[in-house]
Amino acid sequence: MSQADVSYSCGSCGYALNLTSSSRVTSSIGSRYNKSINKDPSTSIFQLSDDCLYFIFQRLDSSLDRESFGLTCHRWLHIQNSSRRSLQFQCSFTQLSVPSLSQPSMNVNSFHLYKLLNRFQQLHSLSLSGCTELQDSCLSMLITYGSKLQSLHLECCFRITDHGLSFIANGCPFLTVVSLYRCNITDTGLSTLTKSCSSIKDVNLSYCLHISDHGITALSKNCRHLRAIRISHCRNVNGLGFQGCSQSLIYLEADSCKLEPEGITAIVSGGGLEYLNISNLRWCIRGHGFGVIDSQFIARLKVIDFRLCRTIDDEAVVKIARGCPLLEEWNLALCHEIRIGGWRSIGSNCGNLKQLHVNRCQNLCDQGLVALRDGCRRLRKLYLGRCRQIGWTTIEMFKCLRSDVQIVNEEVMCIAPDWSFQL
Amino acid sequence: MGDLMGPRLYSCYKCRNHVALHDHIVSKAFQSKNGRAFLFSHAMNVFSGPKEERQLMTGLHVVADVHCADCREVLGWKYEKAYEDSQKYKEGKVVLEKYKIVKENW
Repeated sequence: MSQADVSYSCGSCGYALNLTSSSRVTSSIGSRYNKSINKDPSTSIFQLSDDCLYFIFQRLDSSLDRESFGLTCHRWLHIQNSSRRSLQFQCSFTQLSVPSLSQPSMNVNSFHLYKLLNRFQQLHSLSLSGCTELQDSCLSMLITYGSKLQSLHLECCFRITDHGLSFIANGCPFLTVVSLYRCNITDTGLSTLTKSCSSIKDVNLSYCLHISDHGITALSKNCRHLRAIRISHCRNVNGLGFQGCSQSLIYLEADSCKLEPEGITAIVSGGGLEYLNISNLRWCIRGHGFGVIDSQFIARLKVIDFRLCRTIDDEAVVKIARGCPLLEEWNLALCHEIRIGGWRSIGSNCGNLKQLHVNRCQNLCDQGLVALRDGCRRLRKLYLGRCRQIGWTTIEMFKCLRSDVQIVNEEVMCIAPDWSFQL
Repeated sequence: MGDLMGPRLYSCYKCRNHVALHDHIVSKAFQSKNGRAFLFSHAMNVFSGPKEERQLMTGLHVVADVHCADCREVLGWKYEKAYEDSQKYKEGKVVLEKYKIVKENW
Protein backbone atom coordinates (compact mmCIF):
# COMPACT_ATOMS: atom_id res chain seq x y z
CA MET A 1 0.00 0.00 0.00
CA SER A 2 1.46 3.38 -0.94
CA GLN A 3 1.49 6.01 1.78
CA ALA A 4 -0.18 9.39 1.07
CA ASP A 5 2.54 11.59 2.49
CA VAL A 6 5.48 9.92 0.74
CA SER A 7 6.53 10.91 -2.78
CA TYR A 8 7.72 7.92 -4.89
CA SER A 9 10.13 8.11 -7.77
CA CYS A 10 11.27 5.63 -10.46
CA GLY A 11 14.46 3.88 -9.42
CA SER A 12 16.29 4.28 -12.70
CA CYS A 13 15.36 7.75 -14.00
CA GLY A 14 13.95 9.54 -10.95
CA TYR A 15 10.56 10.36 -12.59
CA ALA A 16 7.94 11.27 -9.96
CA LEU A 17 5.31 8.48 -9.81
CA ASN A 18 1.66 9.21 -9.07
CA LEU A 19 0.67 6.27 -6.92
CA THR A 20 -2.19 7.58 -4.77
CA SER A 21 -5.74 7.62 -6.09
CA SER A 22 -6.42 11.07 -4.67
CA SER A 23 -3.90 12.57 -7.05
CA ARG A 24 -5.49 10.87 -10.07
CA VAL A 25 -6.13 13.24 -12.99
CA THR A 26 -9.57 12.03 -14.19
CA SER A 27 -9.97 14.63 -16.91
CA SER A 28 -7.46 12.81 -19.11
CA ILE A 29 -9.33 9.46 -19.05
CA GLY A 30 -10.50 8.48 -22.57
CA SER A 31 -14.17 8.95 -23.48
CA ARG A 32 -14.61 5.25 -24.42
CA TYR A 33 -13.58 4.08 -20.97
CA ASN A 34 -15.99 6.57 -19.51
CA LYS A 35 -18.86 5.01 -21.46
CA SER A 36 -18.00 1.46 -20.47
CA ILE A 37 -17.85 2.13 -16.78
CA ASN A 38 -21.31 3.62 -17.01
CA LYS A 39 -22.71 0.67 -19.09
CA ASP A 40 -25.79 -1.31 -18.04
CA PRO A 41 -24.56 -4.94 -17.47
CA SER A 42 -27.83 -6.66 -18.45
CA THR A 43 -27.36 -6.47 -22.28
CA SER A 44 -24.36 -8.79 -22.72
CA ILE A 45 -24.42 -11.58 -25.31
CA PHE A 46 -24.90 -14.18 -22.60
CA GLN A 47 -28.42 -12.90 -22.07
CA LEU A 48 -29.53 -13.97 -25.54
CA SER A 49 -31.91 -16.92 -25.72
CA ASP A 50 -30.96 -20.22 -27.34
CA ASP A 51 -32.83 -19.73 -30.59
CA CYS A 52 -31.09 -16.40 -31.16
CA LEU A 53 -27.78 -18.15 -30.65
CA TYR A 54 -28.76 -20.90 -33.12
CA PHE A 55 -29.57 -18.20 -35.64
CA ILE A 56 -26.19 -16.56 -35.07
CA PHE A 57 -24.42 -19.89 -35.36
CA GLN A 58 -26.03 -20.66 -38.73
CA ARG A 59 -24.60 -17.43 -40.10
CA LEU A 60 -21.02 -18.31 -39.19
CA ASP A 61 -19.19 -19.30 -42.39
CA SER A 62 -15.74 -20.49 -41.48
CA SER A 63 -15.10 -23.63 -39.47
CA LEU A 64 -12.67 -21.66 -37.33
CA ASP A 65 -15.49 -19.37 -36.24
CA ARG A 66 -17.70 -22.33 -35.51
CA GLU A 67 -15.01 -24.01 -33.41
CA SER A 68 -14.47 -20.82 -31.42
CA PHE A 69 -18.21 -20.56 -30.88
CA GLY A 70 -18.27 -24.03 -29.38
CA LEU A 71 -15.28 -23.40 -27.14
CA THR A 72 -16.96 -20.51 -25.33
CA CYS A 73 -18.95 -22.46 -22.77
CA HIS A 74 -20.94 -25.71 -22.43
CA ARG A 75 -24.20 -24.13 -23.49
CA TRP A 76 -22.66 -22.79 -26.69
CA LEU A 77 -20.96 -26.12 -27.29
CA HIS A 78 -24.35 -27.79 -27.08
CA ILE A 79 -25.70 -25.34 -29.65
CA GLN A 80 -22.81 -26.09 -31.98
CA ASN A 81 -23.28 -29.85 -31.58
CA SER A 82 -27.00 -29.85 -32.17
CA SER A 83 -26.65 -27.70 -35.27
CA ARG A 84 -24.56 -30.32 -37.03
CA ARG A 85 -26.61 -32.06 -39.73
CA SER A 86 -24.12 -34.24 -41.52
CA LEU A 87 -21.12 -36.30 -40.51
CA GLN A 88 -18.56 -38.24 -42.47
CA PHE A 89 -15.13 -39.71 -41.86
CA GLN A 90 -11.85 -39.11 -43.64
CA CYS A 91 -12.15 -42.43 -45.40
CA SER A 92 -15.52 -41.58 -46.94
CA PHE A 93 -15.88 -41.47 -50.70
CA THR A 94 -19.17 -39.66 -50.76
CA GLN A 95 -17.53 -36.28 -50.41
CA LEU A 96 -13.95 -36.65 -51.32
CA SER A 97 -11.46 -34.31 -49.69
CA VAL A 98 -8.08 -34.68 -51.35
CA PRO A 99 -5.90 -33.66 -48.37
CA SER A 100 -7.37 -36.51 -46.34
CA LEU A 101 -6.11 -39.11 -48.80
CA SER A 102 -2.50 -38.79 -47.71
CA GLN A 103 -3.17 -39.22 -44.00
CA PRO A 104 -3.19 -42.67 -42.37
CA SER A 105 -6.73 -43.93 -41.95
CA MET A 106 -8.26 -44.37 -38.54
CA ASN A 107 -10.14 -47.59 -37.76
CA VAL A 108 -13.57 -46.43 -36.73
CA ASN A 109 -14.93 -48.64 -33.96
CA SER A 110 -17.98 -48.67 -31.72
CA PHE A 111 -16.40 -46.40 -29.13
CA HIS A 112 -15.79 -43.64 -31.70
CA LEU A 113 -19.28 -44.04 -33.05
CA TYR A 114 -20.83 -43.93 -29.57
CA LYS A 115 -18.99 -40.72 -28.67
CA LEU A 116 -19.90 -39.08 -31.96
CA LEU A 117 -23.56 -40.07 -32.00
CA ASN A 118 -23.90 -39.01 -28.38
CA ARG A 119 -22.40 -35.64 -29.16
CA PHE A 120 -24.26 -34.92 -32.42
CA GLN A 121 -27.85 -35.93 -31.82
CA GLN A 122 -29.56 -34.04 -34.63
CA LEU A 123 -27.82 -35.63 -37.59
CA HIS A 124 -29.71 -35.95 -40.85
CA SER A 125 -26.90 -37.51 -42.84
CA LEU A 126 -24.30 -40.00 -41.66
CA SER A 127 -21.63 -41.50 -43.84
CA LEU A 128 -19.74 -44.50 -42.55
CA SER A 129 -18.44 -45.36 -45.99
CA GLY A 130 -14.89 -46.62 -46.04
CA CYS A 131 -15.09 -47.89 -42.46
CA THR A 132 -14.20 -51.41 -43.46
CA GLU A 133 -13.75 -52.80 -39.95
CA LEU A 134 -17.08 -51.54 -38.62
CA GLN A 135 -19.09 -54.33 -37.00
CA ASP A 136 -22.85 -54.89 -36.90
CA SER A 137 -22.93 -54.22 -33.17
CA CYS A 138 -21.76 -50.64 -33.74
CA LEU A 139 -24.96 -49.93 -35.64
CA SER A 140 -27.01 -50.82 -32.56
CA MET A 141 -26.39 -47.25 -31.40
CA LEU A 142 -28.62 -46.05 -34.21
CA ILE A 143 -31.60 -47.36 -32.25
CA THR A 144 -31.09 -44.68 -29.61
CA TYR A 145 -29.44 -41.92 -31.59
CA GLY A 146 -30.49 -42.36 -35.21
CA SER A 147 -34.13 -41.36 -35.14
CA LYS A 148 -33.67 -38.23 -37.24
CA LEU A 149 -31.36 -39.83 -39.80
CA GLN A 150 -32.44 -39.43 -43.42
CA SER A 151 -29.34 -40.46 -45.30
CA LEU A 152 -27.04 -43.32 -44.36
CA HIS A 153 -24.02 -44.37 -46.41
CA LEU A 154 -22.36 -47.70 -45.71
CA GLU A 155 -20.22 -48.09 -48.81
CA CYS A 156 -17.51 -50.74 -48.43
CA CYS A 157 -18.52 -51.64 -44.89
CA PHE A 158 -17.64 -55.24 -45.58
CA ARG A 159 -18.54 -56.55 -42.14
CA ILE A 160 -22.09 -55.23 -42.09
CA THR A 161 -24.62 -58.06 -42.46
CA ASP A 162 -28.38 -58.52 -42.10
CA HIS A 163 -28.02 -58.14 -38.33
CA GLY A 164 -26.76 -54.59 -38.80
CA LEU A 165 -29.64 -53.86 -41.16
CA SER A 166 -32.13 -54.88 -38.46
CA PHE A 167 -30.65 -52.20 -36.19
CA ILE A 168 -31.03 -49.63 -38.93
CA ALA A 169 -34.62 -50.75 -39.51
CA ASN A 170 -35.35 -50.28 -35.79
CA GLY A 171 -33.61 -46.98 -35.35
CA CYS A 172 -34.09 -44.94 -38.52
CA PRO A 173 -37.72 -44.99 -39.67
CA PHE A 174 -37.39 -41.85 -41.79
CA LEU A 175 -34.50 -43.07 -43.89
CA THR A 176 -34.69 -41.84 -47.50
CA VAL A 177 -31.22 -42.44 -48.94
CA VAL A 178 -29.28 -45.60 -48.11
CA SER A 179 -26.19 -47.02 -49.73
CA LEU A 180 -25.08 -50.60 -49.11
CA TYR A 181 -22.45 -50.89 -51.81
CA ARG A 182 -20.40 -54.04 -51.24
CA CYS A 183 -22.06 -54.88 -47.96
CA ASN A 184 -22.49 -58.53 -47.09
CA ILE A 185 -26.27 -58.48 -46.97
CA THR A 186 -28.97 -60.88 -48.18
CA ASP A 187 -32.63 -60.72 -49.13
CA THR A 188 -33.79 -61.23 -45.52
CA GLY A 189 -31.95 -58.15 -44.33
CA LEU A 190 -33.28 -56.10 -47.21
CA SER A 191 -36.86 -57.19 -46.47
CA THR A 192 -36.51 -56.25 -42.80
CA LEU A 193 -35.11 -52.87 -43.74
CA THR A 194 -37.77 -52.04 -46.32
CA LYS A 195 -40.66 -53.12 -44.05
CA SER A 196 -39.74 -50.46 -41.47
CA CYS A 197 -38.20 -47.79 -43.66
CA SER A 198 -40.97 -47.38 -46.17
CA SER A 199 -39.95 -43.90 -47.26
CA ILE A 200 -36.70 -45.02 -48.87
CA LYS A 201 -36.17 -43.14 -52.12
CA ASP A 202 -32.62 -43.82 -53.25
CA VAL A 203 -30.90 -47.14 -52.62
CA ASN A 204 -27.54 -48.40 -53.81
CA LEU A 205 -27.21 -52.19 -53.78
CA SER A 206 -24.32 -52.49 -56.24
CA TYR A 207 -22.05 -55.50 -55.72
CA CYS A 208 -24.34 -57.00 -53.05
CA LEU A 209 -23.82 -60.43 -54.53
CA HIS A 210 -26.34 -62.30 -52.37
CA ILE A 211 -29.29 -60.08 -53.27
CA SER A 212 -31.79 -61.81 -55.53
CA ASP A 213 -35.27 -61.06 -56.82
CA HIS A 214 -36.91 -61.89 -53.49
CA GLY A 215 -35.20 -58.91 -51.93
CA ILE A 216 -36.09 -56.71 -54.89
CA THR A 217 -39.74 -57.79 -54.64
CA ALA A 218 -39.79 -56.73 -51.00
CA LEU A 219 -38.22 -53.42 -51.93
CA SER A 220 -40.69 -52.59 -54.70
CA LYS A 221 -43.66 -53.70 -52.61
CA ASN A 222 -42.77 -51.86 -49.39
CA CYS A 223 -41.13 -48.69 -50.62
CA ARG A 224 -43.72 -47.02 -52.79
CA HIS A 225 -41.74 -43.78 -53.05
CA LEU A 226 -38.72 -45.49 -54.53
CA ARG A 227 -37.00 -43.07 -56.90
CA ALA A 228 -33.57 -44.47 -57.73
CA ILE A 229 -31.94 -47.85 -57.44
CA ARG A 230 -28.54 -49.24 -58.36
CA ILE A 231 -28.11 -52.99 -58.63
CA SER A 232 -24.94 -53.16 -60.71
CA HIS A 233 -23.14 -56.49 -60.64
CA CYS A 234 -25.89 -58.21 -58.61
CA ARG A 235 -25.60 -61.38 -60.60
CA ASN A 236 -28.53 -63.16 -58.92
CA VAL A 237 -31.06 -60.55 -59.97
CA ASN A 238 -32.92 -61.38 -63.16
CA GLY A 239 -35.35 -58.44 -63.00
CA LEU A 240 -38.62 -60.21 -62.17
CA GLY A 241 -38.62 -58.69 -58.70
CA PHE A 242 -39.39 -55.26 -60.15
CA GLN A 243 -42.85 -56.29 -61.32
CA GLY A 244 -45.41 -53.89 -59.93
CA CYS A 245 -42.92 -51.28 -58.76
CA SER A 246 -44.21 -47.78 -58.24
CA GLN A 247 -44.33 -45.15 -60.96
CA SER A 248 -42.01 -42.98 -58.88
CA LEU A 249 -39.02 -45.10 -59.98
CA ILE A 250 -37.16 -42.90 -62.45
CA TYR A 251 -33.55 -44.12 -62.20
CA LEU A 252 -32.41 -47.72 -62.59
CA GLU A 253 -28.81 -48.77 -62.95
CA ALA A 254 -28.47 -52.51 -63.57
CA ASP A 255 -25.26 -52.95 -65.47
CA SER A 256 -23.50 -56.33 -65.60
CA CYS A 257 -26.61 -58.18 -64.37
CA LYS A 258 -28.07 -61.36 -65.83
CA LEU A 259 -31.46 -59.86 -66.65
CA GLU A 260 -33.91 -62.12 -68.44
CA PRO A 261 -36.37 -60.97 -71.12
CA GLU A 262 -39.28 -61.25 -68.65
CA GLY A 263 -37.17 -59.30 -66.21
CA ILE A 264 -36.83 -56.45 -68.69
CA THR A 265 -40.64 -56.30 -68.99
CA ALA A 266 -40.89 -56.26 -65.20
CA ILE A 267 -38.33 -53.48 -64.84
CA VAL A 268 -40.31 -51.04 -66.98
CA SER A 269 -43.68 -52.07 -65.52
CA GLY A 270 -43.83 -48.99 -63.31
CA GLY A 271 -44.09 -46.74 -66.31
CA GLY A 272 -42.10 -43.86 -64.89
CA LEU A 273 -38.53 -44.82 -65.76
CA GLU A 274 -36.38 -42.00 -67.15
CA TYR A 275 -32.86 -43.43 -66.86
CA LEU A 276 -32.19 -47.08 -67.68
CA ASN A 277 -28.75 -48.65 -67.66
CA ILE A 278 -28.46 -52.32 -68.61
CA SER A 279 -24.98 -52.14 -70.08
CA ASN A 280 -22.84 -55.27 -70.17
CA LEU A 281 -25.99 -57.40 -70.18
CA ARG A 282 -25.22 -61.10 -70.02
CA TRP A 283 -26.16 -62.77 -73.26
CA CYS A 284 -29.48 -64.65 -73.00
CA ILE A 285 -30.46 -67.20 -75.61
CA ARG A 286 -34.05 -65.99 -75.49
CA GLY A 287 -33.11 -62.52 -76.67
CA HIS A 288 -33.58 -59.09 -75.18
CA GLY A 289 -37.27 -58.95 -74.36
CA PHE A 290 -37.96 -55.51 -75.82
CA GLY A 291 -40.16 -56.92 -78.56
CA VAL A 292 -43.08 -57.65 -76.24
CA ILE A 293 -43.00 -54.48 -74.14
CA ASP A 294 -45.96 -52.14 -74.34
CA SER A 295 -44.74 -48.74 -75.54
CA GLN A 296 -46.56 -46.83 -72.83
CA PHE A 297 -44.19 -48.18 -70.19
CA ILE A 298 -41.06 -46.84 -71.84
CA ALA A 299 -42.53 -43.53 -72.98
CA ARG A 300 -40.75 -41.47 -70.33
CA LEU A 301 -37.23 -42.71 -70.94
CA LYS A 302 -34.72 -39.89 -71.42
CA VAL A 303 -31.33 -41.59 -71.02
CA ILE A 304 -30.63 -45.20 -72.04
CA ASP A 305 -27.35 -47.07 -71.68
CA PHE A 306 -27.08 -50.24 -73.78
CA ARG A 307 -23.30 -50.33 -73.97
CA LEU A 308 -21.96 -53.83 -74.69
CA CYS A 309 -25.42 -55.40 -74.95
CA ARG A 310 -24.86 -57.91 -77.70
CA THR A 311 -28.52 -59.04 -77.76
CA ILE A 312 -29.86 -55.59 -78.67
CA ASP A 313 -30.77 -55.80 -82.34
CA ASP A 314 -32.85 -53.89 -84.88
CA GLU A 315 -36.14 -55.04 -83.36
CA ALA A 316 -35.26 -53.53 -79.98
CA VAL A 317 -33.89 -50.36 -81.52
CA VAL A 318 -36.97 -49.76 -83.65
CA LYS A 319 -39.24 -50.34 -80.65
CA ILE A 320 -37.36 -47.84 -78.55
CA ALA A 321 -36.85 -45.26 -81.27
CA ARG A 322 -40.59 -45.20 -81.90
CA GLY A 323 -41.69 -45.55 -78.31
CA CYS A 324 -39.42 -43.05 -76.53
CA PRO A 325 -40.12 -39.58 -77.90
CA LEU A 326 -38.33 -37.85 -75.02
CA LEU A 327 -35.06 -39.71 -75.50
CA GLU A 328 -32.08 -37.35 -75.17
CA GLU A 329 -29.05 -39.58 -74.73
CA TRP A 330 -28.52 -43.13 -75.95
CA ASN A 331 -25.43 -45.25 -75.57
CA LEU A 332 -25.21 -48.03 -78.17
CA ALA A 333 -21.45 -48.56 -78.06
CA LEU A 334 -20.38 -52.12 -78.92
CA CYS A 335 -23.91 -53.15 -79.89
CA HIS A 336 -22.80 -55.25 -82.82
CA GLU A 337 -26.20 -56.61 -83.79
CA ILE A 338 -27.67 -53.28 -84.88
CA ARG A 339 -27.76 -53.03 -88.65
CA ILE A 340 -29.07 -50.65 -91.30
CA GLY A 341 -32.74 -51.08 -90.28
CA GLY A 342 -31.97 -49.98 -86.76
CA TRP A 343 -29.88 -46.99 -87.79
CA ARG A 344 -32.55 -45.80 -90.21
CA SER A 345 -35.15 -46.05 -87.49
CA ILE A 346 -33.04 -43.98 -85.12
CA GLY A 347 -32.52 -41.37 -87.78
CA SER A 348 -36.18 -40.98 -88.60
CA ASN A 349 -37.72 -41.31 -85.13
CA CYS A 350 -35.33 -39.89 -82.54
CA GLY A 351 -36.21 -36.26 -82.94
CA ASN A 352 -35.12 -35.21 -79.47
CA LEU A 353 -31.87 -37.14 -79.33
CA LYS A 354 -28.99 -34.88 -78.32
CA GLN A 355 -26.14 -37.32 -77.67
CA LEU A 356 -25.58 -40.67 -79.37
CA HIS A 357 -22.79 -43.13 -78.62
CA VAL A 358 -21.93 -45.62 -81.37
CA ASN A 359 -18.29 -46.38 -80.57
CA ARG A 360 -16.97 -49.65 -81.97
CA CYS A 361 -20.29 -50.81 -83.44
CA GLN A 362 -19.15 -53.44 -85.91
CA ASN A 363 -22.22 -53.13 -88.11
CA LEU A 364 -22.46 -49.38 -88.43
CA CYS A 365 -21.81 -48.92 -92.13
CA ASP A 366 -21.60 -45.80 -94.27
CA GLN A 367 -25.30 -45.95 -95.12
CA GLY A 368 -26.14 -46.16 -91.43
CA LEU A 369 -24.16 -43.03 -90.72
CA VAL A 370 -25.90 -41.29 -93.63
CA ALA A 371 -29.27 -42.24 -92.13
CA LEU A 372 -28.22 -40.73 -88.80
CA ARG A 373 -26.96 -37.64 -90.55
CA ASP A 374 -30.21 -37.07 -92.41
CA GLY A 375 -32.32 -37.53 -89.28
CA CYS A 376 -31.84 -36.69 -85.59
CA ARG A 377 -32.29 -32.96 -86.03
CA ARG A 378 -31.44 -32.12 -82.42
CA LEU A 379 -28.23 -34.12 -82.29
CA ARG A 380 -25.33 -32.21 -80.72
CA LYS A 381 -22.71 -34.86 -79.98
CA LEU A 382 -21.90 -38.10 -81.77
CA TYR A 383 -19.40 -40.45 -80.12
CA LEU A 384 -17.98 -42.25 -83.12
CA GLY A 385 -14.68 -43.90 -82.24
CA ARG A 386 -13.21 -46.97 -83.95
CA CYS A 387 -16.16 -47.95 -86.13
CA ARG A 388 -14.32 -50.12 -88.59
CA GLN A 389 -16.83 -49.96 -91.42
CA ILE A 390 -17.06 -46.18 -91.66
CA GLY A 391 -14.99 -44.58 -94.36
CA TRP A 392 -13.17 -41.28 -94.09
CA THR A 393 -15.30 -39.66 -96.80
CA THR A 394 -18.53 -40.44 -95.00
CA ILE A 395 -17.26 -38.79 -91.86
CA GLU A 396 -16.15 -35.71 -93.75
CA MET A 397 -19.52 -35.45 -95.50
CA PHE A 398 -21.17 -35.71 -92.08
CA LYS A 399 -19.07 -32.88 -90.68
CA CYS A 400 -19.84 -30.83 -93.76
CA LEU A 401 -23.60 -31.23 -93.81
CA ARG A 402 -24.10 -31.34 -90.05
CA SER A 403 -21.73 -28.74 -88.67
CA ASP A 404 -23.96 -28.46 -85.60
CA VAL A 405 -22.89 -31.93 -84.46
CA GLN A 406 -19.62 -32.43 -82.60
CA ILE A 407 -17.95 -35.75 -83.48
CA VAL A 408 -16.05 -37.19 -80.52
CA ASN A 409 -13.58 -40.08 -80.63
CA GLU A 410 -13.64 -41.03 -76.94
CA GLU A 411 -15.68 -43.79 -75.41
CA VAL A 412 -17.65 -42.69 -72.37
CA MET A 413 -18.23 -45.43 -69.83
CA CYS A 414 -20.86 -43.79 -67.66
CA ILE A 415 -23.66 -41.54 -68.83
CA ALA A 416 -25.68 -41.51 -65.60
CA PRO A 417 -27.42 -38.21 -64.87
CA ASP A 418 -27.07 -36.78 -61.38
CA TRP A 419 -30.75 -36.68 -60.52
CA SER A 420 -30.44 -38.80 -57.41
CA PHE A 421 -28.13 -39.85 -54.60
CA GLN A 422 -27.44 -36.24 -53.74
CA LEU A 423 -26.44 -35.76 -50.14
CA MET B 1 -24.85 -83.62 -89.97
CA GLY B 2 -27.26 -81.31 -91.71
CA ASP B 3 -26.62 -78.10 -93.57
CA LEU B 4 -24.35 -75.85 -91.56
CA MET B 5 -25.08 -72.17 -92.07
CA GLY B 6 -21.87 -70.23 -92.20
CA PRO B 7 -18.52 -70.85 -90.54
CA ARG B 8 -18.32 -72.57 -87.15
CA LEU B 9 -17.32 -69.81 -84.74
CA TYR B 10 -16.21 -69.58 -81.17
CA SER B 11 -17.16 -66.53 -79.11
CA CYS B 12 -16.17 -64.91 -75.84
CA TYR B 13 -18.40 -66.36 -73.11
CA LYS B 14 -19.20 -62.94 -71.66
CA CYS B 15 -19.99 -60.71 -74.57
CA ARG B 16 -20.33 -63.18 -77.49
CA ASN B 17 -17.69 -61.43 -79.48
CA HIS B 18 -16.50 -63.78 -82.28
CA VAL B 19 -12.91 -64.74 -81.54
CA ALA B 20 -11.96 -67.82 -83.54
CA LEU B 21 -12.96 -70.29 -86.25
CA HIS B 22 -13.25 -74.01 -85.57
CA ASP B 23 -11.21 -74.66 -88.72
CA HIS B 24 -8.23 -72.89 -87.19
CA ILE B 25 -7.82 -75.33 -84.33
CA VAL B 26 -4.36 -76.86 -84.32
CA SER B 27 -4.64 -78.95 -81.16
CA LYS B 28 -7.22 -79.73 -78.51
CA ALA B 29 -4.80 -81.21 -76.03
CA PHE B 30 -3.68 -78.14 -74.15
CA GLN B 31 -4.03 -77.49 -70.44
CA SER B 32 -4.52 -74.21 -68.65
CA LYS B 33 -4.72 -73.57 -64.90
CA ASN B 34 -8.48 -74.01 -65.01
CA GLY B 35 -8.96 -76.85 -67.43
CA ARG B 36 -8.77 -77.79 -71.04
CA ALA B 37 -7.68 -75.36 -73.75
CA PHE B 38 -7.37 -75.30 -77.53
CA LEU B 39 -4.51 -74.06 -79.67
CA PHE B 40 -5.65 -71.89 -82.57
CA SER B 41 -3.46 -70.77 -85.44
CA HIS B 42 -4.80 -67.29 -84.90
CA ALA B 43 -7.67 -65.44 -83.22
CA MET B 44 -9.62 -62.34 -84.20
CA ASN B 45 -11.15 -59.44 -82.25
CA VAL B 46 -8.68 -59.92 -79.44
CA PHE B 47 -5.76 -57.89 -78.21
CA SER B 48 -2.62 -58.95 -76.36
CA GLY B 49 -1.40 -57.76 -73.04
CA PRO B 50 2.25 -57.24 -72.09
CA LYS B 51 4.79 -59.98 -72.84
CA GLU B 52 6.14 -61.97 -69.93
CA GLU B 53 8.16 -65.09 -69.29
CA ARG B 54 6.20 -67.94 -67.85
CA GLN B 55 7.06 -71.47 -66.83
CA LEU B 56 4.42 -73.66 -68.44
CA MET B 57 4.02 -77.43 -68.40
CA THR B 58 6.19 -77.78 -71.47
CA GLY B 59 8.92 -75.42 -70.35
CA LEU B 60 9.83 -71.73 -70.27
CA HIS B 61 8.08 -69.50 -72.80
CA VAL B 62 7.50 -65.84 -73.52
CA VAL B 63 3.72 -65.41 -73.59
CA ALA B 64 1.24 -62.55 -73.64
CA ASP B 65 -2.27 -62.74 -72.21
CA VAL B 66 -4.98 -62.43 -74.81
CA HIS B 67 -8.07 -60.32 -74.02
CA CYS B 68 -11.44 -60.01 -75.74
CA ALA B 69 -11.48 -56.73 -77.64
CA ASP B 70 -14.93 -55.73 -76.40
CA CYS B 71 -15.17 -56.73 -72.78
CA ARG B 72 -11.44 -57.15 -72.01
CA GLU B 73 -11.92 -60.54 -70.40
CA VAL B 74 -8.76 -62.69 -70.42
CA LEU B 75 -9.46 -65.61 -72.77
CA GLY B 76 -6.08 -67.29 -72.95
CA TRP B 77 -2.55 -66.52 -74.04
CA LYS B 78 -0.42 -66.13 -77.13
CA TYR B 79 3.00 -67.71 -77.55
CA GLU B 80 5.54 -65.06 -78.50
CA LYS B 81 8.72 -67.08 -78.12
CA ALA B 82 9.60 -70.65 -77.19
CA TYR B 83 13.05 -71.48 -75.87
CA GLU B 84 13.10 -75.18 -76.75
CA ASP B 85 13.23 -76.37 -80.35
CA SER B 86 10.40 -78.85 -79.93
CA GLN B 87 8.10 -76.04 -78.83
CA LYS B 88 8.94 -73.64 -81.68
CA TYR B 89 5.84 -74.58 -83.65
CA LYS B 90 3.70 -72.76 -81.10
CA GLU B 91 5.20 -69.34 -81.76
CA GLY B 92 2.59 -66.84 -82.94
CA LYS B 93 -0.32 -69.13 -82.15
CA VAL B 94 -3.04 -68.46 -79.59
CA VAL B 95 -4.36 -70.75 -76.84
CA LEU B 96 -7.95 -70.10 -75.76
CA GLU B 97 -9.30 -71.75 -72.62
CA LYS B 98 -12.30 -73.99 -73.23
CA TYR B 99 -14.43 -72.54 -70.44
CA LYS B 100 -13.90 -69.00 -71.72
CA ILE B 101 -15.27 -69.61 -75.17
CA VAL B 102 -18.66 -70.80 -76.39
CA LYS B 103 -19.77 -72.25 -79.70
CA GLU B 104 -21.68 -69.81 -81.83
CA ASN B 105 -24.61 -71.17 -83.89
CA TRP B 106 -23.51 -74.82 -84.04
